[in-house]
Amino acid sequence: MKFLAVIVLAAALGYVLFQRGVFTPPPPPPPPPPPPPAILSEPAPVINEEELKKVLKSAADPEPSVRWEAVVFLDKVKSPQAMPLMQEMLQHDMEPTVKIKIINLLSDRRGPDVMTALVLAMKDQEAEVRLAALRALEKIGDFSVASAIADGPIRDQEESVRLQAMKTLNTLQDKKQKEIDDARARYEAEKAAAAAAAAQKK
Amino acid sequence: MGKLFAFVVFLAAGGFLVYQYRKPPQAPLQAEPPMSVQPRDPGPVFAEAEVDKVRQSLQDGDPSVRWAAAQLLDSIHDPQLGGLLEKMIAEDPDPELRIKIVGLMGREDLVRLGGLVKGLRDVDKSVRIASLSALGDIGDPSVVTWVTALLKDPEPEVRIAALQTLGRFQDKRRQEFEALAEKLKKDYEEALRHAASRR
Repeated sequence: MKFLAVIVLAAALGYVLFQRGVFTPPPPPPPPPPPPPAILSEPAPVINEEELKKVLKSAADPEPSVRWEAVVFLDKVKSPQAMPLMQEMLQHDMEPTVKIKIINLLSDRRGPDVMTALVLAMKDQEAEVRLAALRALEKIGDFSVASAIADGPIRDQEESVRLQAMKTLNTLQDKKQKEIDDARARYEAEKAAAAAAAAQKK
Repeated sequence: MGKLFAFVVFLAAGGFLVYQYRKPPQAPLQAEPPMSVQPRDPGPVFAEAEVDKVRQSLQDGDPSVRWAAAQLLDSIHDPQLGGLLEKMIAEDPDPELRIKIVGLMGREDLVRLGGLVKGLRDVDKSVRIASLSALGDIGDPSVVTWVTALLKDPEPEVRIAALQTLGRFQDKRRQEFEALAEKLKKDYEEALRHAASRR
């Protein structure tokens, strides 16, 4: 009888413990959150290829302001045709104001195609365009164009262009000198830190 | 006998315990929802017959009367106003009034895009430019086909306005895109924090 009571008690106790989850293994840790959603770097253009062709045609509009707005829009939608179009317009557009606006737009950009376009614009027949190109190169501050400036605009027939060319070269030189000074200061600081560390070890 | 009694008591207690553990938990009593607040509609100021008279004033010979009627119908949110304004943009003889009507429609939501698209085909270039400006304010790129059609407009100002409107559509899309990207980033960071706190 006692034996039966012990069995029943053990069974009841076992059942209660089972219900409380003593025998069940602990739940696995929550899964890690899903990876971050893929975010495209640029939103899709609001117009399709067909509509884009119409805008490209507007870049050849007889009205200069329309051509400029077409360039602005193509640049805004990050069209692959935007940069070649701007280079082409810098070379062949009849309106200097459009060229100057394009140069000002490019002055906030970097890259070899931008530099090529601006260096070519330094040879424009309009002095205002050449001046704008020199100012843009000064703003960008890429020293690699120094030789192109020294070869051409520094001997320009227009005094204002020659002056701007000198100014641009000076700015580029100052920037280059600052880079050299910064590099030297970094080197000296590292050298001093290494010497201090070596002295501490001794 | 005593042992049997104890065994019975033990079994009863065990059975009671098992019953208590197996019984589903009772849901807590829910508080009664608060009484909903009934909006008190002040009721229409004008009777239907009077609104009809105002609608008829949209065909008045005097443009200022037509404009005042359109403004009044707009302020009382006349359900027929959308169609009436569309008709005015297409047919009103006064270009200045058509521009004002375009402005009135531009303040409203997307259901009035159709009227503004009609304004893009207006004979007066100012109306076309005003329609483009209003469409740019709304920023819905579903009308780009009609906007790009104006790139062949004989008036340079209209062609410029069409390109600027397309640019505004793109600007709006970029803003929405950036807001969405920011929200997704925040949600992900929140999920990471939540997961870290549960570990």
